[in-house]
Amino acid sequence: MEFEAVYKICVIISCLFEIYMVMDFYGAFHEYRFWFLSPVRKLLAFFFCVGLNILTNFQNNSFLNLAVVPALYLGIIIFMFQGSLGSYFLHWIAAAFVIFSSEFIFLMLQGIPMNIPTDQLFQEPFVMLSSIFAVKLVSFILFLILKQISKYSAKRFDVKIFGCYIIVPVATLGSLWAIPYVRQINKTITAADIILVSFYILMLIGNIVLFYMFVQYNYIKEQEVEKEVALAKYREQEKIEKQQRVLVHNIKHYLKQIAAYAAKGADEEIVKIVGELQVEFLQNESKAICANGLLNSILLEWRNRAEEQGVSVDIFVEAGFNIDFMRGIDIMAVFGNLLDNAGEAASQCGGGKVGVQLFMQNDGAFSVIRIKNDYTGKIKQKNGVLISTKKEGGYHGIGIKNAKEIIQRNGGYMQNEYSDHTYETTIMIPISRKK
Amino acid sequence: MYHIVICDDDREYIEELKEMIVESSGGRGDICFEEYLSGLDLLEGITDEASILFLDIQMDGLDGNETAKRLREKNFQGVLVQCSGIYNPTPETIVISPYRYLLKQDSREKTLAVIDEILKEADRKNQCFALAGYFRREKIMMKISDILYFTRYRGGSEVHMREEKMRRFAGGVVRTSEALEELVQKLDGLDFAMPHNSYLVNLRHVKDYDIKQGSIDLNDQTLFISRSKKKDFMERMMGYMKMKYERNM
Repeated sequence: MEFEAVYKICVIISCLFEIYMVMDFYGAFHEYRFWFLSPVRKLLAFFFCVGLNILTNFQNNSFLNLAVVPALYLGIIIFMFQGSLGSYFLHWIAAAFVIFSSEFIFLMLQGIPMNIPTDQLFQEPFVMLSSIFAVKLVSFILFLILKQISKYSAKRFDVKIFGCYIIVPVATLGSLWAIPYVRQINKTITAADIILVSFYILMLIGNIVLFYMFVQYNYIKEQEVEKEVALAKYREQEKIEKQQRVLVHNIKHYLKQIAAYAAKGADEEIVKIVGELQVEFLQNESKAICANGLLNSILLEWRNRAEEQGVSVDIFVEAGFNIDFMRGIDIMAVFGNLLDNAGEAASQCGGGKVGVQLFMQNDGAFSVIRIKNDYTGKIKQKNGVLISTKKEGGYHGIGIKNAKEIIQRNGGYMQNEYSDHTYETTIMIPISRKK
Repeated sequence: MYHIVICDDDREYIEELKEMIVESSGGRGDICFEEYLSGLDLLEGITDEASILFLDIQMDGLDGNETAKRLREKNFQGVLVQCSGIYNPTPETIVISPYRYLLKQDSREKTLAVIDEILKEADRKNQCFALAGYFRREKIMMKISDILYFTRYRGGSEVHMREEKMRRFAGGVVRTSEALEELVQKLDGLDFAMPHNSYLVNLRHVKDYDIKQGSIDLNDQTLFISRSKKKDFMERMMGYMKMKYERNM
């Protein structure tokens, strides 16, 4: 096969790859516009952009490339995705920067001037073909890192999963970079080279497919947690309903008895029964301290556990406290972490106390969460981040950081204060944007 | 002097509540009670004098939620307390968000403690109730609770009030002779904070904020938070947020 033909195939594939990466990057931060939710339209738009990109690249003019390609990226984000002007601009700059910086980084490493057309960059054909894919792989890795480090990205992995995945693209990049060096110098392109380039293409496709599968895996994992949360909510609701039915049944019984005693004029007996009824009401009430079923079960379960450890617990939930705008897994993570920390610290005081207050402020515009606990020992800080009060470490460290991240993601603000023996966490979350 | 309004269709509960209010007040001030048996009667009869309103939710005719909504529209500025025998709030009660909910089945001790909090909140609101200002050289008195924020104005400050109040002053500027720095001193302890060198904001009217954008929303008006004041302002907001149940922790 002619080198020219192989080169063109490689350019076409790299253009396909490039547009895919840019769209995937935008997709991590923006929703597609309604018109592009149809897979056919999305695919048409994708191939239109790829075609434009290929045409530009085939001109072999670096300046034209520098003018058309960023404009194409801008067009993609504006026409295909929803968002504000600021976020369009930011992500467009980021995408253009990644694509061009990958090329610049690669060319700089090779010591090649920037103004030479791509097809004349390398004297050895195979090195050039290999470089085309290596540059794209650098972009792919940079995009991966951007998507991972931005807390607004919808395509973030768990750090461990990301660590496992990133090995593959890095290894692929290493191979692409190293093979031309270990290969025998050859000014012409051979059949073996073409086979090797075909495998490069397969490796690139493999990287993308693997990434897609990891995203899906992450999504499935999140769905499973959501399902568990929903199930827990349902079970809690079912439990409360069952208790309510028992209560209604008992009330009927008490009323019958009251009527019977009233007929006899036995006032003392009536007072006694009303007393019993009140006790039953109070017992039932203590099982429903919050209108949000999930938070209710978290609070009740934690209270039982803390009290078993000798901690004195005081929970106050204002009727009307609203936390329904928060995802179930976020509620679990925030309250789970903060309450466990508070309970654990208070349990070490010997008769320590934890106070929890959940209420609304400014006519229901803000949800406020306050958790105050006793602690013993010394709170250590490193670069303004709390580390531990315990000899064995751990307390108020990762848990608080995690909770803070979730609160910030929900537009809230979290404050931690402590005095000699009291530690307090206060959270406020504006809810107007979440209605 | 507490001007307390109770609206409930249960006469017995009204009497019980009155007795508990008197007990909880412990003689700290005179109490004047006003009673209504329905939401409609309340809406017709209630005046600006009312400092606390205990409003039952389950009432025949106009229920407590709808009554509270209409009262808000009428610009009721006192402490609103909703009374109910049902614990779980409905979406309506979340929107109304009274200062406190009083649960009828609560123990007497708990109710007395809540009433004490309510009376203290009324005291706080009365602490500095009004501020003198000028509109077209005429002296006027403004309720602190009507003020959204102050901005700098030559020789003093410009006052920005809630839309309903500002209609009265259309086409002119309401101002005070005090500069922002003087107002900060004067309104100390009254939930005002400076998110920017040019504004003094009533935290009670903040409906939303966006730390990234550096902005706050006050009843559909957006103000900016300066970078240098961001941390201080958020700390002040937190301090204000916590105050609602400060005494209980």
